[in-house]
Amino acid sequence: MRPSARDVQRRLALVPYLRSKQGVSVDEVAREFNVKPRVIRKDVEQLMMTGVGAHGGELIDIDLFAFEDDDRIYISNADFMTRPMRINGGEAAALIVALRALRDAAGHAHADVVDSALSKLQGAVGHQTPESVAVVVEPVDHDVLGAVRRALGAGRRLEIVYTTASRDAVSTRQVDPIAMFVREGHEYLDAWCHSAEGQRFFRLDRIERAEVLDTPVESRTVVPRRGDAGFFSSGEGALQVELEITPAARWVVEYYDAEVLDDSSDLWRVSLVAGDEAWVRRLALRAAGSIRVLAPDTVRSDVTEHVRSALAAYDGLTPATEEF
Amino acid sequence: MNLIFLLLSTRQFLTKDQVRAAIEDYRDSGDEAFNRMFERDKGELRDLGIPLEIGSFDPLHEDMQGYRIPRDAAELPELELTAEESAVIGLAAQVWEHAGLAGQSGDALIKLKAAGVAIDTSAVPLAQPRIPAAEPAFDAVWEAVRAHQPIRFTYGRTGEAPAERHLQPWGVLSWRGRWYVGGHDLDREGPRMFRVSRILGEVRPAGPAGSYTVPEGASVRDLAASFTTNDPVGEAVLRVRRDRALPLRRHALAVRPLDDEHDEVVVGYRSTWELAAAAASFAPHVLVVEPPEARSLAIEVLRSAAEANADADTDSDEQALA
Repeated sequence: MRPSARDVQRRLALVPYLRSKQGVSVDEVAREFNVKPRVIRKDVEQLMMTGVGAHGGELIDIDLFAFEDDDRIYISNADFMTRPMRINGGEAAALIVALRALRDAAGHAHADVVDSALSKLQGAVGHQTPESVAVVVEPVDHDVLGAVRRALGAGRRLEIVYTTASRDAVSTRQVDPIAMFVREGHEYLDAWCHSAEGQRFFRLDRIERAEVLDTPVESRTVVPRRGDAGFFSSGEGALQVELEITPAARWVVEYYDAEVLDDSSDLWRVSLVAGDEAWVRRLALRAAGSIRVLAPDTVRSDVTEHVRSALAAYDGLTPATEEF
Repeated sequence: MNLIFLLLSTRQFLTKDQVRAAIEDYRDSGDEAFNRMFERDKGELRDLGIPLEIGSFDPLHEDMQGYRIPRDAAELPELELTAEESAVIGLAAQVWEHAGLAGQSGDALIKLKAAGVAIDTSAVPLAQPRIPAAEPAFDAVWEAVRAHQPIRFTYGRTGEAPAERHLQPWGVLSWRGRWYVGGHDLDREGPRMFRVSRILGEVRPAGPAGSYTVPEGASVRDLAASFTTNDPVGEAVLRVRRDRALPLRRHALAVRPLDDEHDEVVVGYRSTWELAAAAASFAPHVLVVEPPEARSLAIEVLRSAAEANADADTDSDEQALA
């Protein structure tokens, strides 16, 4: 079987790598190249059959005793390839776009490091500078970001003032940070929340204040999560919602990955998963009548209830309005 | 592999016959099979981004064309990276949530490791963005942008009839987790932005690669900004319950306490409509005080929401629409 382009790429890189790390173990190479050890063993076997020619002295030489008995690799007769191949256009585009996204997420604190890495990398790959790709990450308060990073780096507990957007409620919580990640353009902190006694996601732009405490994080077996599709920022339960929407609210379908249950008339019936009832209420309130909540019923009465209080408050606000 | 090693190790140009003589698989094949294999392997070199130089070693016999891989152009140049710089490159290689691009950034990383760059991603505590690219049309759009190739596609917004579009793509943009492609719309003769997830079916080439140039200074980010943000058109005065509507308060220009329970919050707004909808979403904790047109619109938004969500027997023919 012919080797794939990926196999060829990896084997080409293996030659200079092995030359500079004589006696390296198969396991270590596998880790560095992010493949299984048996893939590396096969690569080495293939390398032994290649060279600048087909004759004895022209083939790459591997110390077979070390390879077969100790799983260690000593390579010789490979002086024709001292350096890896240049990073090609596709690879450079992928890596440079990723670095730019990283710089945007990093904020000022590490922007210099990312910038110098970028410029060195661009120098090494040559002309390719894909200005044609941009990844926009929403900005975050640098004091908050700095505190979260310090806590993560030092393994300290954080005290945060956090807004739960769906409930429009603010709370002060102590959390043990686990990891940070970016999802759909927003940065998140994954942490163990001592108030909720569970693992929660916190959107960084909803952390009002963050303070690093002297308390070290408690050791606890936690699995860093990325938050898969349909997750909600503070890990609240999921709520199945059914809406009736006019054409003005059809954006909801795409924006919230809603499922269209019935589109036989202009009024569509759709279903989606929400974080909680307050989120649905706010969606219906701002939709100016283009969204009717079919389920849960409680949210529909919530909407009318909130409108009544608001209209009453507007009445109270207007000096010209007569008392009633 | 043998072809790469052979052509890399030679300083002279090797003729096709010399190449054939040196490589076993070529030598053992018939003329036709050899020609086919040689063409295929040259194509693979191109795909891997390895340059192949064709020239002559003998000035008296210029028809004696030979091949070699120019070492300087083919090899990764020397690259001195600090521990922090290599850490951020290592983190960057984990950013893509797209099999092809994750693979390519991983391949780039392997080349750096092969050049002796040690990568320890824990050297820099950084938030790691994840760039998903699950849109079916993404690969084709990405390639078209890189190749400067005009494309045709069927584009449909939810609830609208799909239409055929014809674009010279300038670039792609990921914004809030979604990909957009921007460029010169050949039918509408102007810059346009398209959401990649709304492209239906195949992206077809509409001309040769490299058949247009991206205008100087045209950046997708600017193009996107012109579509997604406007400067504030004015200032609004809101009456906000204490400790409520924090997202609005965060962008406040001024906050003054009104009484024990309420603050006056001044915010900039980009459209009356947007302001009214935002205030309504926080009902009853946010009231628009000024300007009057935003206030009446906010009240209208609320009334419509109540009518649309009233119980079935009371809203029979009063469906208020935006």
